[in-house]
Amino acid sequence: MIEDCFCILLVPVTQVVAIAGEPVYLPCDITIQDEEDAVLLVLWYREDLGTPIYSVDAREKDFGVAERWSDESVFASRAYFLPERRPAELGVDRVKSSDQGIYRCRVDFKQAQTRNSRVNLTVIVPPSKMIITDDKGDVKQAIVGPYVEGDSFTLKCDVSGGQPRPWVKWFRDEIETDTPVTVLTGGAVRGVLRVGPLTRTDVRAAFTCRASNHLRSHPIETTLTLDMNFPPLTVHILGSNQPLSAIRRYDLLCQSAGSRPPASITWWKNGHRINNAKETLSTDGNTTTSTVSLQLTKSDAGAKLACRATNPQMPSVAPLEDDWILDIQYVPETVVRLGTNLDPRNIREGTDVYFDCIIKAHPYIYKVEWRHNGKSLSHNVGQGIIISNQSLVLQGVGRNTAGNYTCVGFNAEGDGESRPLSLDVLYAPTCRSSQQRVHGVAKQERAHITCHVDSNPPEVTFRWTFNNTANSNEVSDSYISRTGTVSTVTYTPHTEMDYGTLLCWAHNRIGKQRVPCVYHIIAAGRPDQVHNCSVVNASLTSFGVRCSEGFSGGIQQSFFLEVKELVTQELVANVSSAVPRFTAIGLVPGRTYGVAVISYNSKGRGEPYHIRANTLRPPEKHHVHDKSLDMPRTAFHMTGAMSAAVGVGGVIMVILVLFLIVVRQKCFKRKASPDPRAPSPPSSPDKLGEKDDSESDDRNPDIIPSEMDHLQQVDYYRTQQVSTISPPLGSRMPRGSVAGVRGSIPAYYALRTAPPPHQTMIDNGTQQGIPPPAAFGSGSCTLPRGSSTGLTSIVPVERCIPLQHLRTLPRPMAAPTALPRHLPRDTPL
Amino acid sequence: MYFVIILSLLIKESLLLRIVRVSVPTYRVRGQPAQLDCEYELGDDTLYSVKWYRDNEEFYRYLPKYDPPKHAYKLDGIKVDLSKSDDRHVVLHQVTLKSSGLYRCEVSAEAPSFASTAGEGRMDVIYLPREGPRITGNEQENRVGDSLFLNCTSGRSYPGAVLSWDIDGEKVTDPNLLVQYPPIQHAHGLVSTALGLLVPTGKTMQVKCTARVAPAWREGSEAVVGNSQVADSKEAMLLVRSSAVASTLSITLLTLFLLQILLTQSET
Repeated sequence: MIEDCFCILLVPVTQVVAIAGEPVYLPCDITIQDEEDAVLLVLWYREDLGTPIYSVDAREKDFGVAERWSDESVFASRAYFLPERRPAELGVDRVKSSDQGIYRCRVDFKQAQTRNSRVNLTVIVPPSKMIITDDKGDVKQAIVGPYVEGDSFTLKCDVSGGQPRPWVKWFRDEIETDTPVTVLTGGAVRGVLRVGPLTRTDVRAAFTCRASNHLRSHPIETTLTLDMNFPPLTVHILGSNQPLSAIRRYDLLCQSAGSRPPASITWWKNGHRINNAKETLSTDGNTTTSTVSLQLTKSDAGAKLACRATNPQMPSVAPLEDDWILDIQYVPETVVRLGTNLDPRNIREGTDVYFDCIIKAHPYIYKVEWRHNGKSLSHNVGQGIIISNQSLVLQGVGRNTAGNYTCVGFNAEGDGESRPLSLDVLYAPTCRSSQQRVHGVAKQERAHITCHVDSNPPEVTFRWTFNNTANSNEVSDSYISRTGTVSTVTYTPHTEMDYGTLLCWAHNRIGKQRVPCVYHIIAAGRPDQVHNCSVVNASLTSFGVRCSEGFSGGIQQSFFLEVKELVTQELVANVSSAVPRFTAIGLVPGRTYGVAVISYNSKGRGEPYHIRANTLRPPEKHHVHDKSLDMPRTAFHMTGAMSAAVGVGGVIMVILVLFLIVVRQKCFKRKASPDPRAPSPPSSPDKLGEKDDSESDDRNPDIIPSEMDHLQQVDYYRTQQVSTISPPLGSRMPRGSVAGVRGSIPAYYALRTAPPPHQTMIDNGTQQGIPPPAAFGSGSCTLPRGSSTGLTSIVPVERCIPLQHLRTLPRPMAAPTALPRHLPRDTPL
Repeated sequence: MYFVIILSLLIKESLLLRIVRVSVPTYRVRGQPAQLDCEYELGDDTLYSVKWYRDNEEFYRYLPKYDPPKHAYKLDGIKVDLSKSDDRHVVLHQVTLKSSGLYRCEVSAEAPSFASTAGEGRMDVIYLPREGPRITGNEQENRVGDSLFLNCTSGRSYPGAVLSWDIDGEKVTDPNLLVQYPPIQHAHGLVSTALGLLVPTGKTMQVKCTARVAPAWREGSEAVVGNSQVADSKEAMLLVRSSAVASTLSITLLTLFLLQILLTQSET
């Protein structure tokens, strides 16, 4: 019998496992028991080969330098013996699967028994390839999907290579799952993973297929991330369902969350797409915000504003929508409507008018206001203004009530003012104020008298009549011309009887003028004396004089100023002006001058008005220098002789003053004028009407000496006596005489200026208390219409002569000139 | 008589070292010497070593380059007769029961190849019983019932003897009639065995117990039965008569026939 007992070797066997590619160490005990012993030879065999694969021959050398040999067909240079280890080892680098097998190490000792040991080397070859496929057979590498909620799918993980056969497992988020495994023809191992049905929480799940065949070898693995598509979960218009203002621009926001990939948001108004929206995405990608800028109008009220969110990757899913029924607020819209039974073209003075304010507003108004020509109206029953709710009632409208009416509605959005409604109030003609009512006309002179009326409608016809003391006559149409509401009469007085009063009447379709316009035709004469003169702004070499002008004599008047040395009567200044305001310059400091203000017109000169004026006295130390400085133009130098002359003149002047006082006391009825002057042609420009002070003062600085003409002065005095009507009493009259009306003060003075100014720097002695002729005092009067002014109090009413009485004044006397003084042109009607 | 075991040979090329035959006697009776043969061909190689192992433990080596080239290690049960051993033979003095084991010869060529080849064979040492099996009976027990109970006990041997019963020349195989006992261990590793037999009553019969010591028996091979070279078989026989009526059974040992065959080992 034959036995094969090769397998019964009772040699210890060590199990060694190596990973392919890694080094491995095969143990072999070479320790010696006796110090005298030594290792002669180490032989490594592989069981299936007869020859060693590695040897260390120390029979003839020391072990440290022993000859080592490795079989080129087995380990070759990969093997190296490590005798210093305990136990000693044979290292083999980069183990190959073909290295697997049983190895025997034989150690021959010098003395001890030969030692045999065995190593069972197992080489692990990791799996080499992993392929993951989905249900469609597509190879997946990093991402699987996208899938949608409810989907189910399987993943197959095929692993090939590997010795021994690897295991294959699926992990979901690193948690092992129960993985059914099958072995495919060809040796690959397949692990199957079933996933689903999917929910939203499954997104981004990590599926890992892992395969390995030994604990020590790194498994190969592939991880797939689950991608999913979700329709949006929510969509909201932020701040919806609140009222919006029509006057503002709004940025409205709509947010949608839950969509993957991010939602696309569209805006719609009543089904029409709004295109100017802008989208932003939150950092986590979950929320999409769309901003649309809208300017809404009142017409958008009730419109449906919709915000729709869709997932662009899921077009088949119906969009998610949020709606907003718009509530628009706006500034009140107002319209003024005249009362329905009123004819806007035929509203006369005195009728009652009412308006309605038609209002559209949201929110509703909290206040209504009415305006007339832009000014707010308030409820005032006394003035006939009644405001109730949205109505305005005007009782008894007048011409001032006409104009534009608006109503204003107020709400939180603002003030809405209506378009103006024009109210036209018709009335019969009335005389317009501010017309020239007195016309001074010479005989045979042609005058143009204009009559201006106010009328609505302005289509008017005129009628003129002439009244004098004797009779009243219609003026022939041939002398009348009309332009709109102005009618002009060409009038030429031929006889004394032609002076009187012209009356103008107008009428329109509303009616006749109730009170006629009155124009007085008087004979033109010399102007009256100026009055209330005063010295102002005195300096070393100059001073100013201001006066109030007297009656012009019916025609244009002018004025001039004369300044004389008081002693020598030398004329040092002569200034003309259209108004009685003057400035004299180039005078000697510290001197007193005699000043005369004279009015004149084409009929002659008025009576001069005399006052005294002083230049300022210079300080002592500057006396000499100031003189030379202050008299640049007159070049008036004081010589020694002149000083003497002045001194003599001063004595003479004192004597003269004393003489004059005596004369005045003896003969107060006659006002003595020391040096009346002949009128000189006016040097002022022909500008008429009021002029600014500075204009006339600065314009004529020249000093014009003038010859005295006694005859003219006498004639002037006479004329003045005839044409002048005594003025009312001045409040400062020292005598307080009832009859003490100064002839030098025009009667209408009080009607146009303040009470006579306080006189300063005037020697009153020559003028105060000089009574006017009694004959003139009896004929004086003030205008009846003058009573409407606030200055009436200074006019003695008992002095007034009725209009009818004035007309009866004898014509050769002052009647023609007296009449106009009652109608100063500036008197307001 | 030798069992020659031809081991597997590593046959490569004719010029290489190879084992031709390793001869190890399968059985040796205790006290006999044993010779182990290791035939090999060196081919082009020169000899580095011949090593003999028993159960992987070296007990003899032959290194031609060393002086002396022969060296023996003392192992339990192995005493090498160096004078009769060389590079191809190893002779063991009087084997004992501990000499049993797997014997291997490893031949290694000199450097650089250190090609090695080995062959092995198992040797078992046996001890034959010095006395035959004994048949005993219990009279008290036998009286009860209709059957007679007998025990057969073998003499001490190694390995243990295998017992069998024959009734009137026919082997008892009915397991209901046989009673098995565990073997009994004795000093020096010797073993004795026993086997019980229930004998039907009412007639007179010849009962025989046979004890066989043969190492190959355990293999269950019939071929071994007839082989008398190494096996040992001893028999004990007696006549038995039993009566069902008689309350007292008289057991009379009529005949004791002992056949002993002594086998003598012969060495070649």
